[in-house]
Amino acid sequence: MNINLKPFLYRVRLLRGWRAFWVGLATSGVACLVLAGLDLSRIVQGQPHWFGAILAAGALLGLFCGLLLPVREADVVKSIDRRANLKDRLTTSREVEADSSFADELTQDTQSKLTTVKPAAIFPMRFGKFELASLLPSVIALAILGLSASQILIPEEKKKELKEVAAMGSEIERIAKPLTDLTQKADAKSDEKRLAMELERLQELMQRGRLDKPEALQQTGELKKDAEKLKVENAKETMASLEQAEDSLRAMEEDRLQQALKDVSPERARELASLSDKEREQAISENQNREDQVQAEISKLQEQIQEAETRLQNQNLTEAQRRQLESDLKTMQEQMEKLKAELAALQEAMQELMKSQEIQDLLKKMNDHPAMKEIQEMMQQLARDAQRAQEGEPQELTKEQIEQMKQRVQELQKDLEELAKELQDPQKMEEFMQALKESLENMGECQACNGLSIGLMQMLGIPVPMPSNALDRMGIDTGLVNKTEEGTPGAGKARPTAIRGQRQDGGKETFIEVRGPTTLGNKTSIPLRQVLPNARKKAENAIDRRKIPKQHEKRVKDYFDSLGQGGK
Amino acid sequence: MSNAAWFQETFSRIQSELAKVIVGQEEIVRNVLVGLAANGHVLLEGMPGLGKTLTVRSLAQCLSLNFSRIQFTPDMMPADVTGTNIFVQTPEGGRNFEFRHGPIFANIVLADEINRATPKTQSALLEAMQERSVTIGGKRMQLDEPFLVMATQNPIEQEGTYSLPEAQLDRFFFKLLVPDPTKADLAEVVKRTTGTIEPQVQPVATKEEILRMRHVAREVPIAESVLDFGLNLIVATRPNESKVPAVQKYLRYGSSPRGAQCLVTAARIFALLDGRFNVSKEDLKQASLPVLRHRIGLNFEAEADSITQDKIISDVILGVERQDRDPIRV
Repeated sequence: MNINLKPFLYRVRLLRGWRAFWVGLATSGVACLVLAGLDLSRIVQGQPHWFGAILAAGALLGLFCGLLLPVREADVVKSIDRRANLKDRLTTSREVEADSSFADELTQDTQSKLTTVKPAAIFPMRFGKFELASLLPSVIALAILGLSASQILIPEEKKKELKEVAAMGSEIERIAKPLTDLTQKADAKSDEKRLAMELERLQELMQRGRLDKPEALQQTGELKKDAEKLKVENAKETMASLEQAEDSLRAMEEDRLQQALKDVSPERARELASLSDKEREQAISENQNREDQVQAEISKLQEQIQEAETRLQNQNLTEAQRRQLESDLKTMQEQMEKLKAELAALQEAMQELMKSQEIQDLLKKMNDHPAMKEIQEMMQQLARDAQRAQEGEPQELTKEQIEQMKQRVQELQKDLEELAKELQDPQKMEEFMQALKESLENMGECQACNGLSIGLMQMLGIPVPMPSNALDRMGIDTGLVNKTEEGTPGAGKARPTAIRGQRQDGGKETFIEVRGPTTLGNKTSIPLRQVLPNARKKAENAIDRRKIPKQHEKRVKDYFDSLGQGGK
Repeated sequence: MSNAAWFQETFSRIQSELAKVIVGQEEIVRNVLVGLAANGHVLLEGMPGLGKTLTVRSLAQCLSLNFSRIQFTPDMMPADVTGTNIFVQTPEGGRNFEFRHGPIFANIVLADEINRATPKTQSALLEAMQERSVTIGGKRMQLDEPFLVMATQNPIEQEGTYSLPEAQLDRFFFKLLVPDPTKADLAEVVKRTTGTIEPQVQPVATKEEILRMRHVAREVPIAESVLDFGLNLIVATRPNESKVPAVQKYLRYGSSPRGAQCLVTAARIFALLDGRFNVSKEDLKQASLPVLRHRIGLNFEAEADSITQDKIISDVILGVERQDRDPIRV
């Protein structure tokens, strides 16, 4: 039977798509309803765009399933018969054998009936009860969402409170930004990511008025603790990275020394390396003198040996004289051997001293390299700030400063490449720079956490912690804690606030003098001998430029003198 | 003219001729003719005086067929129906048994008040109805085609009657309930029958045409799904298989396979009468009541609740229709 059913098949496919679209929408609407319920009960923080996405996904999925799923022609035929009231003509026409009595008549009859049937008429695209019912879950879900967002049912006082909480939420968004920016990076730590997510969740809850004030404050307090914990951890990691950088630097020096003095025992090499310039000069001088002496003794002994040998050739010598002479000659030869050995040892020692001098010069060159000096200053600053963070004190370094440091390190790295070539250990230099960069990264994270912690504390109305005073920290009362320049008790509290600008003469200032271990204590990562010359130079410059008050100049000089003698 | 057109034309010709004498009762006349075209016997149930006998007799007249009427009574014997061998003296002086044909030997047999005969006599009809033959004294005699038994019974008078056995009932193609005429029909009946001119029926179809009608009707195609629908109707009347609550509650037994055959045959004819060349589910539904009402057995509970077979069949149709859903749900 030749009846074109394609228009009907297309129509059915389209209608299936339409139907499945609504089924998908209803299903996703139910999912949205569940989500809205969870959102209302604060189990899940639903986002308006989630609802849109779920509904769209469900509807589209349904539509595509409906359009793509196969349609059985036999089913369509039966449906046409039923809908167009063809009284099973079409179904029978498809089955009847061509040679049967009524085949032709039936086909004609069916075709004539079918021509009057429009696919759209028997398969109409309706928007009826089913479609409305499919919309219902979505509408209810959106209504719940809207209701919970609108705060219509909330009393005026509560609204005011929620407004405050919402403002707090906005504040959290602001203060958490540095941390959230950090967590965007691929290598962000999981704890930081978690904290950032928690902050984001809290901020949203607050902004949407889903938390009352006590609850908001409680959660903020908990996050503040987390932020502090994370800050300390980052500070520790900064310290660890700095120590690693220091180790790399030290290893670089030792390697170079070892390389230069490879024939010398490690103990001797270390001994040579530890010699000061003066000691080395003295050793070289003494060595030279002794070498000269030994040289002279050898010359003199050589003459004596020649003379003894000449005398031995004389035939007139008695047997006793000859024997005596031979014995003397032997003694002199033995002495000569000893002197030669001593001379060789002296020459070798001299060579070692010269080499160690050479290495020392190289290391000195490295330490005196402006880039290295700058880096070491940075490391000191970082170490100091990390220590402060660990001790719960506000940090001095700002985000911008850390960023500047990072950029500076990048620039300095190029300068240090030449130096690394001279030291013949670029790998160690690379490790050093890597550790330094890591410490900077960690410090950046630490700073972000610190900023967050302070921000949260301020929000919560908790006083920002002052630096614990020196007396408490050191356990030593120097008698100068919180005193004015005249020695009278200082007014107010000492705040570790970095103030930029030029100090003017006149007026009074409060100062704290601490004599005791450095704040870094045993964790000092850079040897004093490396730091001291630079620090001393800076102090001298400051005195020269009158940046240090007159009455403190002597104290500064005394301090550096005391360090120059080995420190106290 | 096509077979289908010829069928319709012949059918309507007979129907029109009968309408000259039968007032109203169009449905009954139509169904009787369907039974005739389907080669099936018809059981007419109705009050006396509703024109049952007239219908059958008129049918025989307009078809130029032999007609006989058997008025069943309790004392009637099977031989009274089938005929018997009688001892006769031949003109030559010899003696011989000669078979005298009973009233069954006709094309159209009216078995009036069939339920008044004893089961023994009723059963004399069984072979004739099914096999179209009669066996007497070991001799089988074929009945002339077309052979149609039109039986009538009175639903009210139960005294002195013998209900037809299930086997007997099953042999009837249709059971038709003859309704009371409407007032307008009644007026027409009175006018026609009490006047001076009595309408006469003229022969309008031949025996051969009836046989051809039967042949044509059997050629109407039926789709698998339509046949399935019909079989579902039959199966749904079986109390132990049916999902229709009324069937489970009120029926003792359901339709026999013969019921399915009759249903489809009747549906084929209904399709032709509707001007179609295929059987539809509507045809099957239309055929359900006359085909199935005498093939299902009500239980005591149904009798007690005054549930009729027609009510059960309507429920069956509804139940089967409910299962037969549009495969495209859009």
